[in-house]
Amino acid sequence: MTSLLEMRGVTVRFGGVVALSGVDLDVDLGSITSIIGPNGAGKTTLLGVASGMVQATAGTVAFAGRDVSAAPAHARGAAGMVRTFQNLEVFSNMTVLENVMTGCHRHVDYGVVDCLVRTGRFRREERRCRAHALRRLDFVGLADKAGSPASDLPYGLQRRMEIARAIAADPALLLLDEPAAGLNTRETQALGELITAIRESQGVTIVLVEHDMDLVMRISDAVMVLKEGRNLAMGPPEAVQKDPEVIKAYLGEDED
Amino acid sequence: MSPSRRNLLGLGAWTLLMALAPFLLTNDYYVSTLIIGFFNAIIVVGLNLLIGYAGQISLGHGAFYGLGAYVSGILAATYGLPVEAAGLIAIVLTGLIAWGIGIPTLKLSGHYLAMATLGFGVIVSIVFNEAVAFTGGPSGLTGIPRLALFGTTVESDLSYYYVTGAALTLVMALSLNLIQSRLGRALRALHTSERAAEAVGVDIARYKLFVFVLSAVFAALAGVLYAHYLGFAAPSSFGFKFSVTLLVMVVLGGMASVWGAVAGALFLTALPEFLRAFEDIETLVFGGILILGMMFLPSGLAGGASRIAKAVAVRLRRD
Repeated sequence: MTSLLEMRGVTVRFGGVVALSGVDLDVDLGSITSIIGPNGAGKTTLLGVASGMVQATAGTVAFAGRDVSAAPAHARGAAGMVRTFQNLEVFSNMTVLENVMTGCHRHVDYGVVDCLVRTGRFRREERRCRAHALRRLDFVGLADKAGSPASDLPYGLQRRMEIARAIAADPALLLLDEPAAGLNTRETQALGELITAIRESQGVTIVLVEHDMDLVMRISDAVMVLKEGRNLAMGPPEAVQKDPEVIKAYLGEDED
Repeated sequence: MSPSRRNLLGLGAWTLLMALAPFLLTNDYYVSTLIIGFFNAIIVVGLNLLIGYAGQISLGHGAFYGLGAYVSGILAATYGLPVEAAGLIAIVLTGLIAWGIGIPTLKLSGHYLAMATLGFGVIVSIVFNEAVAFTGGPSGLTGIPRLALFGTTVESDLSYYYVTGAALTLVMALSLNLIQSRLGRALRALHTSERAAEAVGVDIARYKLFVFVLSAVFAALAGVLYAHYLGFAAPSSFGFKFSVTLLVMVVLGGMASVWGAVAGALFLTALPEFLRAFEDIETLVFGGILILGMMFLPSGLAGGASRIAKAVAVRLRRD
């Protein structure tokens, strides 16, 4: 299998604190790969390095076979690596539909002049973008909320809207940072189905950083365990669950 | 109703109102007040794109206004260029200056960006004052010819009113189109979350620079119209105080609203004329109105108007 995302020897230091040291990660094309680990293990930091929002002290990131270590965050987004955020980052000054239309940014194709004078190309592309965004909203079950101000949505639905915004970009790789945070059991269940559906229907490769073990073990093809900024284990969920090192890391530290 | 349909209707109503206004006014002086109001509105619509939509700040837009006025004025008055050419060069040059200033300063945000643009405004003001050979110094640049378009001089105040009104309407239409587009969404997105905007591929540095240059170009256009209307330009008209006035127009009119920007600019241009009657306490009353405005219309004139419209709609539906 080929890797869509390849991270090698990623090290991140914040001042004197070492957040990650020499972490490797391979994400197979078409897989759902989860990153788990105790609090402070560096999961979100690793996602930040992948998406270009955290500067790595050392190490490389390759996306779709190209070294993107030096590429800024927006260039990686434009190349089809799109992420969501642990703490919601909703565009509160827009409607739900506009939020998702913003997600289409990378494939809406017209220039400044087209939009200033509303050329035919502008109208065509805007129509396509709107229809595309509505389809994505429908996919996450928010079609009836299209016209509402995004900030009016309850928390759980804002999470869904963020996912709709991310998949509106037609990403090749979707990085989800704790999408189940703050969701109840039923919502988490539905989220698991949604994530699987995104992979099945759109062929999107997914990286999931998540605390909810049920969710992770149910939907992942591969699980990577981080501990104190280092690789601890990597493999299929069943194998990782039985790994004595992993059990020690979880039971030894969290179970008090 | 779709946003573009609503914009078109709004612009139609605005054009009609603008065209009829001079016939409803009893005094020619009011026409000239409106012309000045239109200059301000052109700047404020652009500044609102920068502040209200993209969430950046500028305390130096008076300087772009001044650059438009001075460059065009000097080229036409001192070097005898045709007014159309002088104006065009002034607008392009101001845009280029904004581009040059924007690259380093837009890396800053919040208070730091405010300070940087403030500093730029002060520097330009000093140049207007000190480069006496070109600008005429503190006493101003005189003898700027009247605006001419395609060889016809825009002589009367009424015709100047329509030319300026058309320019403002164009600026409004372009801005409304911009907001409901990929670019407008990118600007609004980076206002609330730069990270989330980047995540979906928005090059935030480029979009900030774009809207900064666009707002400077609008200010320069207003400056050109100003210079060739009054025939005169003095540094005091483009200083820090005016930059702050522009900011007040944006806020009082209503953030993130093209209509609010126009309302704020016209209201605050006309207000001092009506406050003349208060003589000594004019400034006091002016300040009081601003405070009351912000207390009772926190989202500006535009927000207040839409709240009233909604309340009326609810009442009508109930009956």
